Amino acid sequence: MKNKKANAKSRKGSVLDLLLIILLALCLTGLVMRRDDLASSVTQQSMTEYYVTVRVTSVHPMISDRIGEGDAFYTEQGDIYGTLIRREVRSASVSILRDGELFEGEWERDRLVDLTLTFSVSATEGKGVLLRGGKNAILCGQSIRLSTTLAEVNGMVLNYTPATEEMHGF
Amino acid sequence: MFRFRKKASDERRFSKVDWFICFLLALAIGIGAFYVSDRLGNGGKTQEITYTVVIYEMDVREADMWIRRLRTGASVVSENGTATLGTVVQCSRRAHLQAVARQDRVQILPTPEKVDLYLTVRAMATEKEGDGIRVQDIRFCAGRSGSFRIGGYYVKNAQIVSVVRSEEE
Repeated sequence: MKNKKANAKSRKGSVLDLLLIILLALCLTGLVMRRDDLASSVTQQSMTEYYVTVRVTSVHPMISDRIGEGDAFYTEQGDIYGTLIRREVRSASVSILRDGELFEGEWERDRLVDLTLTFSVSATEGKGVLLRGGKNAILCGQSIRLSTTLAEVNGMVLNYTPATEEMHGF
Repeated sequence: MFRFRKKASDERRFSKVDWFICFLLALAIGIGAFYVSDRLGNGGKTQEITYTVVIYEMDVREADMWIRRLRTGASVVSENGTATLGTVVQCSRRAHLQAVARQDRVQILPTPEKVDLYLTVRAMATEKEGDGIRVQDIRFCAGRSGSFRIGGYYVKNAQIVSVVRSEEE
């Protein structure tokens, strides 16, 4: 009788041991996964810097004032897009088509402005596509929504060049 | 089987190995709890901000009525009325402009009877790295549009054109 009780107790202990070992194994798996994650981020360091130019049209000048060189810009998903290295502001252009004739003009600068923003972006080029962070494609003509802490703009990618190449007007 | 006990007759409930595993688990849980509390507990820096909201193409008479009524410090509330988003501290209007093709060129002219209403609002906000500036958990930044209740009025698609930290002013 006593032996049976002792056996039952020791079985209980074994189950507890098994549970603890499973938990420990889960912890170790987590550690390994985290290490792999870090390793993949380390491979991202092999990326190069590109200058990506984005055009933002018809923006209120007060919004433009909240954007400054050196600002970090984020995508809608919350990951970093790049750092603004150059900001050009000009009066927003306006085109009106009337009776088949195109009229062009400009808004007053204190009303609407167009921005040309140049970002320094970490990316890699493969198979003719520029991949930001090795994952997201940067394509000319692509529409993007970018934000800083203080401002948010919708723009279109105009072009990109490797940072080693001298930029026009730099 | 998984038995770390030397003998079944051993009266100790836990062996040294069990205690060691428990210690490791407690350590792992402790480290996890630290990171979770670090994430959740970091609510960001609380500070005063001033933001400017523009209501475009408003009827001039309606705008004048707004200016008269809101000058005294109306509250700005979220669209569904659940969050207070600050107090109006300044109210002004500018002529609403439009581009028209006239005399073989584009001219920028005021739209008759239409104005843009500029409301300056002061509010308390929290700022967190990578999360931006939030007032009552609503993200505030220049360029965003939204609907508000201002001093009892409902405003659809007003645009925030500026967000300034009070310490910057």
